[in-house]
Amino acid sequence: MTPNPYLWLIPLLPLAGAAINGFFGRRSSKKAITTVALVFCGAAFLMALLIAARFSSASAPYYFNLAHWLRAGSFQVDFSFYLDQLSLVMLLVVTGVGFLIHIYSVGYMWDDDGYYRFMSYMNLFMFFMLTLVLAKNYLVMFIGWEGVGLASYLLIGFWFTKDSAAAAGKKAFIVNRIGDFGFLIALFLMIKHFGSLDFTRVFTAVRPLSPETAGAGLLTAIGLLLMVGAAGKSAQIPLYVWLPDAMEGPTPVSALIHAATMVTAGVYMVARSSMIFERAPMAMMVVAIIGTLTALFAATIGIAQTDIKKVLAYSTVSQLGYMFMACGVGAFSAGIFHLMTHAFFKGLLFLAAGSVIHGIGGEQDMRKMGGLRTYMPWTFATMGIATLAIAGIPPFAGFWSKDEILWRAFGASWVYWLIGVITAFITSFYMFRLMYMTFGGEYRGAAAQEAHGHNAHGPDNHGPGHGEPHESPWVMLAPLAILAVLSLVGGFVGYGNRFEHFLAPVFRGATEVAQEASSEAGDSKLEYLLMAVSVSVAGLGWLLAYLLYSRRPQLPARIAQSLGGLYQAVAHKYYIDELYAVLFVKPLVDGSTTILWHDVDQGVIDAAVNDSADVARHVSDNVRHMQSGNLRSYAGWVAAGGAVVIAYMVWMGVR
Amino acid sequence: MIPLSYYLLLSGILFACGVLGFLIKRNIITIFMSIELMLNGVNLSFVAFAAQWHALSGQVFVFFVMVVAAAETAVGLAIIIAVYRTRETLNVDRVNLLKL
Amino acid sequence: MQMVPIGALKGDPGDIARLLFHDFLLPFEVTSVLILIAIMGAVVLASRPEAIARPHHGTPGPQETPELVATGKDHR
Repeated sequence: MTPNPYLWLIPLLPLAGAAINGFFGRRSSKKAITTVALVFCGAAFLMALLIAARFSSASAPYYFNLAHWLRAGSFQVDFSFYLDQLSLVMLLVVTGVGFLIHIYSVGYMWDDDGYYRFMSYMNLFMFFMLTLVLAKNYLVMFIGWEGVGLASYLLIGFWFTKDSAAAAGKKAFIVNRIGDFGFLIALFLMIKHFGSLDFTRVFTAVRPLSPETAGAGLLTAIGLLLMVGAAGKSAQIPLYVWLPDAMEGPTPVSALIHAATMVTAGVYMVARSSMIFERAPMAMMVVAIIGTLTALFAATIGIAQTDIKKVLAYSTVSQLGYMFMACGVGAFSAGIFHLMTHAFFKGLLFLAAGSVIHGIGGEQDMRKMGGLRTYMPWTFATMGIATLAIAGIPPFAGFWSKDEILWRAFGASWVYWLIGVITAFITSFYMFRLMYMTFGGEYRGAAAQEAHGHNAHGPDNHGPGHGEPHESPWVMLAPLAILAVLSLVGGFVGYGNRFEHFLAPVFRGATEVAQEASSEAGDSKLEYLLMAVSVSVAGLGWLLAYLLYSRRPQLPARIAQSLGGLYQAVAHKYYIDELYAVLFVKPLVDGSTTILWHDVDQGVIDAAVNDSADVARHVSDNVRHMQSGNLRSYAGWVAAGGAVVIAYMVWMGVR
Repeated sequence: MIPLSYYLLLSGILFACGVLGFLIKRNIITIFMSIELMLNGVNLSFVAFAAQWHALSGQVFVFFVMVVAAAETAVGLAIIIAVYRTRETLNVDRVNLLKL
Repeated sequence: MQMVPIGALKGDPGDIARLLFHDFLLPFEVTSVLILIAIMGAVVLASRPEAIARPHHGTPGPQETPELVATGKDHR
């Protein structure tokens, strides 16, 4: 472990940018705000590149203790930063994609009144995310964890005057908190049993322990609780419900936070804790099952959505499921690989969707789009590349990472593989459906726009009367182009197990298991066979989307009608939100209203204050009769008082 | 030879009569007389103890009590005269201008 | 049963004088002041209202002002 004194600068530069923009942005010019935001974010990216260039696996991992923090007997926690191969990958992804999205938001949010606030929040998010990624102990990671939740809340509810946006922000934060509860209990268990939250100390303590095959035990508990936290942050079953609602935020937010970086924090945390998970097979199985089921579940919901951002949101949930499936079967490096490629193509998808929305004046309903390939060729091209990537078509990036996951899943159990393949088919289908509905055919929006006259999707529209869809400015297109290139070539990083070998020192235990699995599963012929299956499945999805949305556009409506209730259930997200509302929200709200509000707050606390005032009033009401103006009653009181005094004296004398 | 308790009993009775009159009577002058009665009952008690313990200071104290009683009576009667001039009554229940 | 002998106390004036002017001198003096104040208060409280107001308003005329304190004018 070698010290690196520059590690702490990387998170703190965006924090400085956030502070400057936050405090002084209101009165600054937009150019100044832009400069501050981009300079600080870019500086962090530059530092990350420098560190990457000088990174050597021999002297890794790097660390740096910034300051003391907690001391409680033998337990201590410091503000420490840590950089190993895993952190480096995450660091480059976060700073790189983050910087590109910052540039994009300059164009997207330029006309917004809260422009300075937006850039400040984005920088703040970068600070917290980098703290999360570069932390040396679970507690500093938790700071980042909570902080990105906060930034997410601020950014989802950015247009806070809109009720749905404010509610979505609240929902995201609260559901996240439920996950954080599990995370915290895992931390407490670690403190109690390992006496520390520092990564090296915990993992050194865990390493000599043998895998818990009985299914019970400390490591399984920690693993499951960490998974609860990850499920909250990374939107897995059952805590995924906040992510579709989070689309209320501006599109760059959806791209950065809910596609590329924040939601991947859960995957990163699970990968970082691989030492613990490796020794708790049941927890790993739970992770894999949750991931697989979420992937399939979310993909099925995605087919029926009509809002372009909602489709991408459910796609994100589904792809995150793939990452957890990978971690669950022990293929941690494959999960991180998919995390990286997903950041590229999903970030690109969201940014391109934002470009589409921006270009047609704020409309997000795909049924009102169509034919946009002629109006926005660059957006069409880049989005197409991203769609090919996510569908898993070679040689784009998504193919390499998704196939790696499917291959390793097959090594664990063919069930995982089968569900993964079906999900890949559905993914390809809904992504190409999105492409055909948005860019294919004729533009359906003109008539609808004239009828409406004024769009109601967020204050980022161009205003009424701007009927013709148009391409976005270059400041928005440049990041699209860069991400498209990355989506194309990003996969080659993993060619020939290079990625895996790079991350090997981090996942020492996992690598051994993986090598066993790959040698067990046999020859590369099987691997190529499975590869062919997944590619053809992707192609089938494309074909089906082409048939349904390009050749015979009236078919989908008829199919939906004939499926009736099933289609309705899928279109309404299986009514999960309504189910949660009945099961959890309503009892809580009712309980709070009746018990906590009426009974405790009004009945006890308010009543105590009011009743003490009442008592004072009653006492004074009775005492005022003493002042009657009647001389004889005064005389009587004097006599009574004298009698009491005499009695007391006699009593004291007798004692 | 009179037992001490007789003196004290008499003193107590006098005091009790004084208190009763003080509380029950409506005529201001009667109330004042009751006050005097109370004070004299106490005087008797003082003298009895002084005689029993051969302590002359008991009698000197009676002296002071009487002086104070006289002063108080003087002032009290002056007040009665003033009240009578304004309220034209000696009924203590009618003197209720102190009521708020 | 405690008894009080009749004529137990001699009531010697010398003893009483010693108590009054030596041991209890302060209460004696204070009591005398008390009597003085009581007398003044009684006089003020019992006098007629116009008897006090007259020196300020002078209704009957300066000749009829009652001389509460001898000024020595009447000697001429």
